Amino acid sequence: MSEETFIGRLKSGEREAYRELMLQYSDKVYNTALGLLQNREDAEDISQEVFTAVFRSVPGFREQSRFSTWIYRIAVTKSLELIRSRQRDKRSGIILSLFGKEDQINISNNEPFYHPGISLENKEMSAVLFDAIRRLPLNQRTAFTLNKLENLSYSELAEVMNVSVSSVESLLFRAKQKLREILGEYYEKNLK
Amino acid sequence: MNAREQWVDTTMESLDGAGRAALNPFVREKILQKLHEPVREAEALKFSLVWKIAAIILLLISLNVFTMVYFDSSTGSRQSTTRSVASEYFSYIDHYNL
Repeated sequence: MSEETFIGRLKSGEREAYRELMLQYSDKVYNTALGLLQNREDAEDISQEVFTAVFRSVPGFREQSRFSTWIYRIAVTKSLELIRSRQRDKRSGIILSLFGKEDQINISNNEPFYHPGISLENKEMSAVLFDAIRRLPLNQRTAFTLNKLENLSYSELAEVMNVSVSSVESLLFRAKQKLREILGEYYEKNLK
Repeated sequence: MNAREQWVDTTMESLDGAGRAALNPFVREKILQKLHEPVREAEALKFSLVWKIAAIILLLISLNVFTMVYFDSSTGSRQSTTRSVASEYFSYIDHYNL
């Protein structure tokens, strides 16, 4: 079945088409959200939000981009929105702590993150890498995570992130550079 | 290559070949159910709206009928009162030879 036909079925509100959509994209959306948020519950909530947004917006989908790109874009946008709102909460928590209201501080998630798709031998090292990824700027974090966990090519990443391929190359280069720097510091502090 | 660089390289490669994390099938079903909820809600809303409009129309018709009946009967009683007052008036005139 062509993508056009499938989108047509979704637009007509066919329930079976939504089941197929879920089967085809739920893991991609969940894995994307999980990689960016590094929290299972948050990733599940975001997956629900993504499919609700798809359900509501599919009648207006103009098919100017590929359907998978559109879904990835929604998943990334929703995940980044949550990260930004958490960062705002954290900042307001720091301000509150200056006024002695420690009980209102939002405790950030500093627990190691173990991705379920990583092999046992790489588990510990990947947890250190995920911790380093958390410290990247959001666009570098998105590019690196989608490239590594969803195996998106540079052109696919460019489409999802709505930037040029050369921008993606630059983002990934800087992300890797920064990660090497953070990991180097970690090695000096903890393993030397 | 020193130990530090080697460790950094290995760590950087630790995500290579990672499998895709799968969404819990229970969560997937829950999402599918929720996706169709707004439709059901909209249908329920449409249905209750029809009933509300019907009730308002019925109320308006009832009020109209009630008003018609009430004014009709009150006009009749007003006429009979006028008649009795007039007859009483004329009886007084007759009685006192006014």
